[in-house]
Amino acid sequence: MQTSSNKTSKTSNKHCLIDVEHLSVHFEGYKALDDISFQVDEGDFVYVIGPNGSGKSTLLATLTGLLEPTSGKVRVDTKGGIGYLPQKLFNKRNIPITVEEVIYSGFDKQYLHIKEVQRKQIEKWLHTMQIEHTLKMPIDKLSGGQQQRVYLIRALINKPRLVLLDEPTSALDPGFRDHFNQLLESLHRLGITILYITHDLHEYQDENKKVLYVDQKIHYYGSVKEYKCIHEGGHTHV
Amino acid sequence: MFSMFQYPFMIYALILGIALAISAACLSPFLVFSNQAMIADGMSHIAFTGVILGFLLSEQSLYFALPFVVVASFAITYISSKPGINSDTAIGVVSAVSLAIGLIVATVGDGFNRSIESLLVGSILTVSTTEMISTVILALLVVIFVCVNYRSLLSMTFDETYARFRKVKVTLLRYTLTAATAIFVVLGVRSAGTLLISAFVIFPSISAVQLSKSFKQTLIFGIIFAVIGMFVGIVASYHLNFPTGSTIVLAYTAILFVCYGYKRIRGN
Repeated sequence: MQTSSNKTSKTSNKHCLIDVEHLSVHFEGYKALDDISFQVDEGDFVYVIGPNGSGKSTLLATLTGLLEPTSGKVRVDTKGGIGYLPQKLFNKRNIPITVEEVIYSGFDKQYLHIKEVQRKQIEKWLHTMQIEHTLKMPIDKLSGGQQQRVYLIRALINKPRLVLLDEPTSALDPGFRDHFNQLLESLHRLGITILYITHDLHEYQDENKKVLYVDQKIHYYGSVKEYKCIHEGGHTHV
Repeated sequence: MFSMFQYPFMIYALILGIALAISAACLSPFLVFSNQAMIADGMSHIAFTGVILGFLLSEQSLYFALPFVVVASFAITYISSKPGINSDTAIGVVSAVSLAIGLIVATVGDGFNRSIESLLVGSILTVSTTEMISTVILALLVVIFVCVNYRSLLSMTFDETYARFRKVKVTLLRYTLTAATAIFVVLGVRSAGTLLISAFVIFPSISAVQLSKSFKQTLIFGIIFAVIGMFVGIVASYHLNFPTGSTIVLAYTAILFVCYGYKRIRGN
């Protein structure tokens, strides 16, 4: 993955954060992504959708630098940091690690002893996510939904400029899902760029948001509103 | 009870033992919770061959054994990193091949007159000043390495993928951790023996995790338990006239049972 700075989008005057050109990712002959190109500008909120096995998670893993492209170019402006929530949450059992220690691993600056100001920050986020009682608890004693909130905090704790979320609400209960979506809305209003993998566009507000429909290739990239118009009749679940 | 420490060799043994205990306990959680608990066991088999070859090729067997085991440990780490091969398999393959070579060399080696038994069970009371100083230096280096890289090591141990995303130098850390374990094993084999040295790495974390509530506590409790076990083991072996390495392992086992019992009582 290359990083770039001060690049302007070809389609607007906004600062381009992600620039993907002719990206292909192959696994032992299988084409997960095949020659895709797109750009994401600063402040964009992009839902990445597509059926199972369509290459959505592969795309995010490539943007984070965890996967190398087979061919093509990926440029991500890493200035300001990236927050990442992988689809497969790591649940190593029998490792005595606390929620506080897990979240702390997301900080850019880490010390042998956690600074008080950082602890306060963690506590504030735990309160926002409605799991303030879990600070000193072992991560494996939390429910799946609570663990997902912890990993979300880890992705957001560093106040990144770009956030990549791979099905962040899959383990959340419906009540908290709404709360979480409101939280993302507020982050977006602060100017944070968000790439959000999901299967269902029904529950989300669509103002000023985009959809990237991926299924090995890009089948659609544009506004949510337009996408829903095209798929009038309720076919927004993929 | 402590009159034994009027003898310099006992003081040497205690210093070396505590240095070994601290080194092993510092490495322990990063190996045990990465499912690499048996790497020290595998390396002890490799160290057996390394020391035997060292005896044959040089007056100072350490000079040969150290690079031999470090290179072999890198081979294990490299093979483990390949898709489809887990670390247990890699450890099993490399250590079995190495032990086979060591036993053949020990059998047919011309002029080889060292006791294999002493390598198997160790002899902490006969260590040289050089070995003691080397082990103390190792302990200091391991403590510094763990303190400086604690957060990265923790991140790597808990979630390697996320650590890579955070640009933690996972490969470099993994190889450094392996090399430190290899050096620990070579220095420890002479005193604890190839059969028992892996216990020094496994027991501290397993005991500590019974009582600890965080990773940091596991590390600190592990060091404390390892030092206590080492001290009790050396003192007990002197008074009971038991083999020292075996007595230390039994002391570690007693600590594990106490911790486990306390956890059960507290839990109930």
